[in-house]
Formats: sequence, structure tokens, C-alpha cells
Amino acid sequence: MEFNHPYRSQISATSKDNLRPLWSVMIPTYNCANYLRETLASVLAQDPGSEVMQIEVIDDHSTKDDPKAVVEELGQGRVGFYQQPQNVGYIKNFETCLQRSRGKLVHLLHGDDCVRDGFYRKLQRGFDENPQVGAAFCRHLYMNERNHWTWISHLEQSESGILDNWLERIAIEQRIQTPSIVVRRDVYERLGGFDRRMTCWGEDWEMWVRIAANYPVWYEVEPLALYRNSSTSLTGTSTRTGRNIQDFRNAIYIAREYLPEEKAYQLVKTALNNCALYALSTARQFAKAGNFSAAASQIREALLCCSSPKVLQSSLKLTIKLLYLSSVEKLLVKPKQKQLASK
Amino acid sequence: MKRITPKPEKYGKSEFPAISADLRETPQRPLWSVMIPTYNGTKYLEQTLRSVLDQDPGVEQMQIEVIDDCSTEDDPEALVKKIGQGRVSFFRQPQNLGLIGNWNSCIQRSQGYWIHILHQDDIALPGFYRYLQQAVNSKVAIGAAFCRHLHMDEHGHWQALSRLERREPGILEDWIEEIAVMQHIQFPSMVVKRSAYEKVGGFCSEAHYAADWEMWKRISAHYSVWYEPQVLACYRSHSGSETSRLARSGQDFADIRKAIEISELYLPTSKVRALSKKAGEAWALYALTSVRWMVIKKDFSIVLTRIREAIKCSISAKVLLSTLNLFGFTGKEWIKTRLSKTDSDSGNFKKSNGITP
Repeated sequence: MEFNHPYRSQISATSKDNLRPLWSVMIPTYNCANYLRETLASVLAQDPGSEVMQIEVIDDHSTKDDPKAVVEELGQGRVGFYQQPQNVGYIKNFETCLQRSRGKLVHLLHGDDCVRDGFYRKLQRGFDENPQVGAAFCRHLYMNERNHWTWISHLEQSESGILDNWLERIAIEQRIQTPSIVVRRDVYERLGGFDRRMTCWGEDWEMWVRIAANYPVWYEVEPLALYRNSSTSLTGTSTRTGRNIQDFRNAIYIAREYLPEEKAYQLVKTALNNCALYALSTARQFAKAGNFSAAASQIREALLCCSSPKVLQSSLKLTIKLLYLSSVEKLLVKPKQKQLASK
Repeated sequence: MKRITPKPEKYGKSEFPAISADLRETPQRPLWSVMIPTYNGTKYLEQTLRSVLDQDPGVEQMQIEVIDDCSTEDDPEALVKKIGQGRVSFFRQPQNLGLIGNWNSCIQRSQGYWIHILHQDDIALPGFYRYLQQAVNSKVAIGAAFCRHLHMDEHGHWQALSRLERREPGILEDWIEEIAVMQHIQFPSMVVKRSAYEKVGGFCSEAHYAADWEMWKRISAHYSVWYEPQVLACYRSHSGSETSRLARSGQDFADIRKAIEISELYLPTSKVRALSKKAGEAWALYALTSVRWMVIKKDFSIVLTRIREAIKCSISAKVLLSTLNLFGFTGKEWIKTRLSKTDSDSGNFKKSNGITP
């Protein structure tokens, strides 16, 4: 297949030697060396040997810590390390991960996430039993900065196996976190890398939809991956400005191309509605935290996504709440603070 | 933390089944006693036994025993022999004692210093005994320790995580004020010092469905309790008939009220009234909110029972408001069901006009 896409890098085939490992565990990092320790330990604990598994850390030129030292300490020569000559941004760094992988199955494991015991064994079963699947993922757990589990992802089906109607389910909302999914390298070779039109959010989701549109996807019911969802997500600029929702909206329009014609309209509509509801819940959190301008930009983005009655109603309610809260602050809290300061 | 002074004069040993302390003289006791009560049903027993045997520290360190309450179905003894290979002992009650009687028998038959009562359908996750041993070895005297746990369904799929009580392993502060108000501990996550049972007595059959909660309160009133924040135990919730039978009759909340009443015997005098009131309110609110799931599943029959039970628990303003809310919610769902019924009658017409761009 001729690959020529303006926004997606080509993942070229590796040399077809027989010495290729089965697995490539590619670990992108950026200023997260403290978590990298746990990430590496969780992989090395189930290491089947260097002939079977490539393990490599790809650092996006960290400035605050030294991932190389961690790799050397824990890897003892077992784990490869590559550092970008300069910071390239995380999507480009993911691309490098895919390009540098040599195995047949690629596991992109962020430098702050972890796998649980049995991850590689169980997911390999999926590919062994069903050679036609393009990707396999497992149920996963969310954890916070202190490694406490906070949430269990929804159970997609009660038995492990190929998912039914998966495209229609993944097309309407993000149901996969990256540490839980393994993709065949030749799938990336055929479909290309992550789409660069997204800058901060939704590029992973767009990829999972793209894969679902082209291949069957296998599911493992056991929660075998840990995704770190730090409470600092509210502090990111992209969330404050509403850039994240813009990106996701973009991703929805890009993913539309892969959807079956007769269902595309309804699926996109549902996806936009879900995205709007997500934005509103973020807005609510911002309002609670007292960041009114960020809340307002999330409401704006929600309305740009969708104007269903539910979204309109919630937006209106939230806007009134915001106006009330901000006027209370202007009229009562600030003068009082000034008074205190002048005293 | 405030020390709670025991008030033995307020309850005679007669009220709570006595646990004999004869073992104290025995020289070589194991550290752990894993006591597995069973009754009719061995579907999950193999999994339960394996979860313990996989982390077996050896016979000197751990007693493992299955105590069968005179089952009339299935053959737990054969299964124990097959899986246990002589490592797991088996005891069959000469007659049926009932759930709580069997629990007390578990305690009575235990040899170890620390007792883990693990039901036939629950699971100890890898590391359970290793991590809780930290608690056992702690310098401060404690009466019990428990870990964070998971709820799982009949198929073993994880459903929910229990609340995180504390970020680091250690003694829970003011724990009595939490546990006296709400049940936060599930059986498989809890280990109790045998001497603590010897002192406060066994499970109280009067509290029936809420006997475990009453026990954890009683222990917490007398001893410090240790918490391990790692998730190390799985509790199986059944959507089975027994639970729904209890719920339909309202017996579950009657038992909870009984447990609240019993706890007044030993809760710190200065706080007892406030705690009982808070507990009543918390359970009433729980009754009213948890029934919403049934309503969503179009099961309206239980709503009135729940409202009755909730109001018996507490009539605070919050509870009354929540009752009104529940009425509104149920009404809305009921109308929705009605509407969808009429929809499905004329369904064919609607489908042909389905949503198309």
C-alpha cells in the first residue's frame, strides 16, 4: 500500500529476518523518571528474555530528571535507551517509539503507567488464537500519583474474546487507555502513525477507531494494566483554554471517514454529545475550584460540540452558577480581602 | 486518638457468645488461622482455597480449616481433600448451626494468634498475609487489621473498589466514629486477634444480617485497628435470591437497627447518642439511594418497603428530603416505563422511520 499522508508518519516495515522479537515494549518518557522505576519493574518482572521481547525507553529530552540513570540501574543492560536530540512533543515521540520497534506486537507503555502480572501472557493468547485481530486490549485500572487505585474501567463483555460491534462502541467515546492495548506492528505499517492534527488530546482515540474500522479487536476481561490519571490534569493549559475539547472534536471529524456510511451521522452525533458532556463535567470541576474563566471556556467548547437539550440545559445551569459565584467573589470576597490587606 | 475504656459492667458475657481462652497455655501456636466456613455450594471453594494455598507460609505458620455447617448439598469434604492434599483440615458440624453459629465455631476451633474468616466464595489476593503481617508485627497493640478490598460479581469480574481509608499503612485514627456510622469492612479483608475475640466475645446472633458490622464495631470500640491501603481481598456480591428476599421483607434494615441498638452498650458514653443518630441517618440515606438501582431496572415493588425502613432508621430533614426526591425519581421512571410500553406497541411504525441523517 502506498503510504502518503500529510499528517501521519509512515511506519516502515522492519527487515524480515527471523530474529525479530515477538514483543516490543516501547516506553516514551518525559520528565517522569520517578514513575519510570515502577513502570520498568512491572515489565521486567514478566520479561520472557531478550530474544522474545525488545524493551526500550524513548525519552523526549527530559529536562527535570535523568531517565537514563533509571534505565541503567533497573535495566542492567537489558533495557534500551534512546534520547531525542531535542524535545519533539509527545506525538512525535510516540512516532519514534513505533519506528524504533522491531517486534511483531507493539506495546506503547507510557513512562508513568504499569502492567500487572500476566499482561503479556494473556494478551499473547489473544493474538495466537485469532491471527486476524489487529489489536488486543485488556480491562484496566486507574491509579493516582500515590499508586492508589481509583477506578476500574467498564467491563466490555463478560468473556475474553473478539469484541462485537466494537467500531460502534469505540467511535462514540474513549474506552481504551494506552497501557492496556497492544497493536500488531504491521497494522501500524498499513495505517500509519498517530495523526498530528491533534496537539494535546484525542490522538490515541483516533488511532483506536482507525484500527477498529480495519481489524477485529480482541478483549481480555482481567484488569492487567494500570493507567495513571493524576489529579493535576486540571492544571494543564490545554484544559484551561478548552484546547483539549477542540482537539477531540477534530478527532471525531477525522474518525468520521472510517465509519460505515449509514451509521456515521448518528455515531458522530453521539460522540459529540458525549464530548460535550465531558466538557461540562470538567467545567463543573473548574467552577468548584474557583477557576471561572477555564470553566467558561469548557462550556463554550461544549456548546460548539453539540446543542442537544441536555447539553443546553446543563450549560445554562452552569452559566448561571458561574455568574452567581463570580459576582459573589467580586462583590464580597475581594473587597474583604482588600480590607484585610490594607489593615 | 482517644482511648476507649471498656465497660464490662454494662454487658455480661451472656449477651455475646463466649470464646474460650484455653489455648493461651498451648506452646506452639501458628501465627495465622484461616477459617473457611461453608454451607451448601462448592462452586467457588476451589478458587478460595487456592488463593490461600498459593501464599501458604507452612503448617507451623498457618492453620487452614474448612468448617462445614452440615451441608445437605454438594460434598465439600471431597473437594477439600482433592485441593488441600492433606494441608487443609476439614470439620463438619454434627448439626446445622446457622451462619452465625458456624462463624463462632470457626473462632472456637482456631489455633492461631490471628484469625482470618474467609468465606467459601471470597478470595485473598496475593500478598494478603505478607502485608497484614506488617500490622501483626507492629509495635503498637492492635486488635484487628484490614485491607482495602474489591467487590466482584458471580463471574469474578471486579465491580467496585472499597473506600480508601488512609493513604499509608497504619492505625486508623478515630476509627470508631467511622465504623459506628457505616459498614466499611467486608469479611475477607479483615483479620482479628484471637485474644480480641476472647475478650469481646463472638458474633451476636441477634444482629443477624448485620452481625459482622456489629462485631467490627465492638472490636473497634475496644482496640486500635490497622489499615493496609493495598487492595488485597475480593468480596463476592451476589445478586442472588437471599439478598433480595431480605431486601423485600425489609429484614436487612431491621437487623441494622438492631445492630445500632446493641452497639449502644459499648460505644463511648459521651458519643453514643450522636453516633447512633448519625448511623440511623446514614443507613436511611443508603436505603433511599441504593433503591434507585432497582427503580432504574424497572422494579418498583421494593420502593415503599425501603421508604418505610428508612423512616424507621431516621426522620432527619435530610432523610425526609431524600424521600421526597425518591418519590419524584420513581414517578419519573414509572412514567418513562409507561411511555416506552406504549412506544413498543407501535414500535414497528417508529422503527421504519428510524433516525437517518
